[in-house]
Amino acid sequence: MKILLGIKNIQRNPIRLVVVVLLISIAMFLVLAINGFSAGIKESTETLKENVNNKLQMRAKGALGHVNMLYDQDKLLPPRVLEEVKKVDHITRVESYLLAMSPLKSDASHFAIIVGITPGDTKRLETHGEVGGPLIIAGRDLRPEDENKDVGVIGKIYAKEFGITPENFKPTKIVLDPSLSTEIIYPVKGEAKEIEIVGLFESGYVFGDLQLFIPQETLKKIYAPTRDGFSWIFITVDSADNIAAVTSQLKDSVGAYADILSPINTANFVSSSGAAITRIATLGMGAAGFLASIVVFFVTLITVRERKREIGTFKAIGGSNKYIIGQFLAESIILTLIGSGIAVILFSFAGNYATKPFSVAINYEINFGVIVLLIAVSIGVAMVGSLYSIMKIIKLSPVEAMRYE
Amino acid sequence: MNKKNIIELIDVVKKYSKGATSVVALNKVCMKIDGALMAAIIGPSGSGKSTLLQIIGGMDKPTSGTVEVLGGELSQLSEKELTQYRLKKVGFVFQSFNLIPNLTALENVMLPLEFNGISHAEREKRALHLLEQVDLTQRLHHTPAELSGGEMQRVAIARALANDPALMLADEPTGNLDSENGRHIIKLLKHISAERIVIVVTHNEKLTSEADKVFHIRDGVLK
Repeated sequence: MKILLGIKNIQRNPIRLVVVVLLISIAMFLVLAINGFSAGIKESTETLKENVNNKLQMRAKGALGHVNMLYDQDKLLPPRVLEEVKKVDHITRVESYLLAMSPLKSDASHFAIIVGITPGDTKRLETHGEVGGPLIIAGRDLRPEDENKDVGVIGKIYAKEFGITPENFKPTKIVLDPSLSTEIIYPVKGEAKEIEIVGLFESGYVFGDLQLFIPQETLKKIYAPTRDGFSWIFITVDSADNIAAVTSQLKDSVGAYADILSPINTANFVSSSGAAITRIATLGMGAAGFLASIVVFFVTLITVRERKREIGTFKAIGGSNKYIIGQFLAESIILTLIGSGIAVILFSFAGNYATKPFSVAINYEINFGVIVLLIAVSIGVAMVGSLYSIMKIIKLSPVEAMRYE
Repeated sequence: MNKKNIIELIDVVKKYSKGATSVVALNKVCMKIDGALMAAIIGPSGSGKSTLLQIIGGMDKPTSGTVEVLGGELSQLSEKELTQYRLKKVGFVFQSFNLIPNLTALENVMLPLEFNGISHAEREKRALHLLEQVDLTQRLHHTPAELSGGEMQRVAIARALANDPALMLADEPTGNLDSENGRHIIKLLKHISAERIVIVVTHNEKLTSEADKVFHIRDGVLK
C-alpha cells in the first residue's frame, strides 16, 4: 500500500501535480535537447575534421571569404596557378571552381551561388566548402559527359525560385541571366541563356541549398568573365603528414598570387569552438538537471510540511518510520518518473521542431544513458529532499509531529 | 492480579518548556486502572487530560515518573518498541478523527494491519468485519470527505480496533459530533470496554455516566 499511497498522494493536488510534472519534464526535455545539440556539434566537427585532414584550399591573394567578395576588384586565381599546382609532389587531386552570383527573383537582396565545376568533382558548398558532398534527392548528378553541356544540378531552396520541388521534379529548363548579376566577384558580360536542370540536391545548409552546380566551361560561356581564372582550387594531398611540405612548396611557387588555406586549421577552429559550445551545453544540461532535482526537492519539502499532522497520525497508529519515509520516497520517485517519461515522449515527437531554430545538426536519438543518469540523480536529490524534511519530523513523538510547525 | 491488564502511573510529571517559560501539564499524577472497564478522565480545558492520555498511549513521554501499562514500563521502551506498543497494544481515537484523507474507509482500517505485517487478504477480511461491527458496510469505499462526522468517528474506532488492542484511548471522541451520533459512539465504546480497557477523555456527561471509573483532573493534578 506504500506505493499505492504514493500514487494516491500525488493526485491530492491536481494543479500542483500538473505544474510539477511540467517543470520536471521541461527540465528533462532541455537536458535531452542540449545533449542532442551537443552530440550533433561533436558529430559534425568530427566529420569536418575527417573530411578535411588532407585537403588544402587556394584562393586569390587577399580575397575575403569563400566567394572573394571584394567589390569592384578582380579577385580570381590566375590560370597559371593550376599549372603550378600540378607540378607539386604528393598532390593526388586538384579541383577547380569558378563562382558567380545571381540575385533571387523572390528577394533581390539574397543571392544564389552558381558554381562552375568539372563534372565528377566534389560539389563544394559556399559556406562549408571543406565538407561538400550534398545529396542528390531527385534526378541525377552531373557526369563527366556533361562537360560543356548546358545542364546543372540545383539546391532545393534555389529550385523553388523556378517552381521545382522534390515532389514534382523532372528535367526543367531555367534561364541564367548574367546581366542580373552584380559584378561582385568579377566583371561579366555574357547574355541570358537556358540550361537544363537535371538533378536536385539537398546539403543540410541554407546557403548550400541556394547553389547551382554547372560545368565550368558552361559557366564561362554564359557569364563570360572578362578575365580567366578560378575562384577556388581544392588540393588533396596523399597524406595529412605531407600537408606542411605541400603548403610550403605551394607558397614558394604561387604564394605571390594565392592564399593557401589549410582547412584543417579551420576544422580545428570549428572543433575547438564546438568543444567550447559542447562544454557550455553540458553546463546547461547540468543546470537543467539541477532544476529538475530542485523542483522535486522543494515539492517534497512542502509536501512533508503540509502533511506533518498526517505523519503524526501514522506514528500514533503504529506506522514505522521506515514505512512513512518509504511512502514519501515512492511519491517523489513516481513524480520524477512521470516527468521524465513525458520529457522522453515529447523529445521523441517534438524534439525536431523545438530544436529547429538552432539550425545545426542535432542528434535526435534518445540517449538512454543520459536519461538513466538524470533520473538516478533526480531520484537521489528527491530522496535527499524527502529525507531532509521528513527526518526532522520523524524524530518527534507522534504528538509533537502533529503539533510541529 | 494479572499485571497485563493493569495501568499504573506513579508520580508522573509532564512539563513543556519554551525558552525560559515552563508549563506543568501533569503534576505528580498517580493513577491505577485494573481490568476491562471504561474509565473517563474529565476536567476543564487545559487541565492536562489529553496529555495524560497521550502519555498512557506512548505518544508522548513524561518528564519524570513511572508509567506501567499492560505489564510494561513505557520509559524503558526504545523508539521501535514504543512504535510496536502503539501498533499492537493501543488503539487511539482522536477528537478530529485523523483519518488519512485520500484513503477509503476500508483502506484506513486496513492501514494498522498492514503496519502489523498482515497479508492483504487477511487485512481486508478483518477490516470488513470491523466496519460491519460499526455499521459501515455501505460506506466501505468512501473517502473521509464523503462521510459524516459520526461515520468518520466510527471508521476511526474500527481502525483503533484493527490489531485487537488491550487498551483503547479516546480523546474527546464525541467532541465533534451531534448528540445522536455522540450517543451512538458512547454505546459503541461501552460495548468495546467489555473486552478491554477503554479510557476516554471527555466533557460529555452522558459518557461520564456510562464510565465505570471517573478521574477528575485540574491544573495537572488528578483528584
